[in-house]
Amino acid sequence: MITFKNVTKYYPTPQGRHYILKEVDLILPGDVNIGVFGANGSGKSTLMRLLAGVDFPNKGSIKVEGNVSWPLGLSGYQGSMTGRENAEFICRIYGKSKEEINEKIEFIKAFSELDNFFEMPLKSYSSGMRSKFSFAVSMAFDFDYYLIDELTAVGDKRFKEKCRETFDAKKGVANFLFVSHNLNELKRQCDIGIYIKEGKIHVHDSIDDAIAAYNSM
Amino acid sequence: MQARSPLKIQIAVLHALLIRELKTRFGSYRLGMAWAFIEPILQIAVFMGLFYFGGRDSVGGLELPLFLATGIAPFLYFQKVINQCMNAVTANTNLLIYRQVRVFDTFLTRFLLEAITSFIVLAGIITATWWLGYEVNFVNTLIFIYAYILLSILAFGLGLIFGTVNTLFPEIGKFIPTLLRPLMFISCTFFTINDLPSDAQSILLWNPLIHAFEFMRSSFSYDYNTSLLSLEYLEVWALMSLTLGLLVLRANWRRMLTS
Repeated sequence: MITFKNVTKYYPTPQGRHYILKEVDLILPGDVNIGVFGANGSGKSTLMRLLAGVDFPNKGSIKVEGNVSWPLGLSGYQGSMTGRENAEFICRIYGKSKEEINEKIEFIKAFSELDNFFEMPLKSYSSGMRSKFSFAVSMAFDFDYYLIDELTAVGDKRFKEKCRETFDAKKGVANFLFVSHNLNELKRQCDIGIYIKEGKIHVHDSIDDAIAAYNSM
Repeated sequence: MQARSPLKIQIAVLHALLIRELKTRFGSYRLGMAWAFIEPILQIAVFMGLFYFGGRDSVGGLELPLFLATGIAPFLYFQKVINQCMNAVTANTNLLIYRQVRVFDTFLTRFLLEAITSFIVLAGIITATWWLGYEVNFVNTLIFIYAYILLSILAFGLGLIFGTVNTLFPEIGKFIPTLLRPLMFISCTFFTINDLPSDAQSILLWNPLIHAFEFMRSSFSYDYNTSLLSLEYLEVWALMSLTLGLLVLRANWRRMLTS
């Protein structure tokens, strides 16, 4: 369950305050997968950061029940470090033991299909390799809530199939919050849809309604 | 997943960040850790050359290399802590996406790494001087360590302040290294306060770094003149700088997340 209590979030700009959220009171159920829409710059990523606890509202409070992931996307990695080093870093901050780290690293290496590139700095990766790597890292950890920020499955058909299977397996035990521009993807993965507009979060109880509302905007 | 205690998380994050800093700092150069030694040794060598032509081989009862090492190495340490802290946040912005990693951790990691490295370097240089046949007598190890700790606290506090300023106002931050550069020449890195005329002494003694370096030197000789120095003065500086640094960070760390 996600609870917003009188949440206001803005960014100061030279033209005054730019509001993302304005006095939002909202409860989102904890047992559904949520798709997040919105135009570029409407605050989807900010919303993810707020939920992940790495950014804070200017007013009010947000509570998320259970373990929340970090905003899973293409950022959050250090370009000068290798794939292995980046993966190890995340394992360490999650307090994994040596054996657990080895286990996760093996999983990530196998899943990402990077082979030798796993030992190369991330900045030498192509964008496709980067998404594969990010995807593998994201799926290596167990959370109650996965915040997925534009982390779309890339690669060949087989790799996409593998990603879909992993998603489905996680769905049984965890919930997802998706940010994506790919409406088909959202349609398949999500139960309800929300979008941010003019400082408010609009909720639609079915993903199809949400897509229809979004398209008519 | 089980909830971990805050202390456990803190230790895990520091460990992870330390390894990350080590990899990017020392890992990318073939000489790695040796660089940490090369810079102070080169500077000491240059000043030794100058003193040699000036015909002096000891200052205040300390042999020249030891005297220079206890001024130049700690000064470089002070400077490095501040330089490293200035970019602590910008260099780690990507990693602030994990809620375990807080802004303070990036500062603390860089400071700890510098404190440990520089202490090893200083101890290494002093050992090397002794090994080369110069006279090195420890007469008061505690004062040496205490002065080093006070210097560290002072540097870390200033690092927090300058780091915050540089992250939030990079334009102002650009001036900080320029302002700090002349400090080397007024901090008793290659001369002792006791050799100066009394007018100069009374002005320069406001500089807390002098008290740190001179007290460190006094730990090598019974005769080193410390009558002008005050440990309390250095303590007050260290305490004020750390307090102010932590306050400045506490008031601003959330703003640094999105800058």
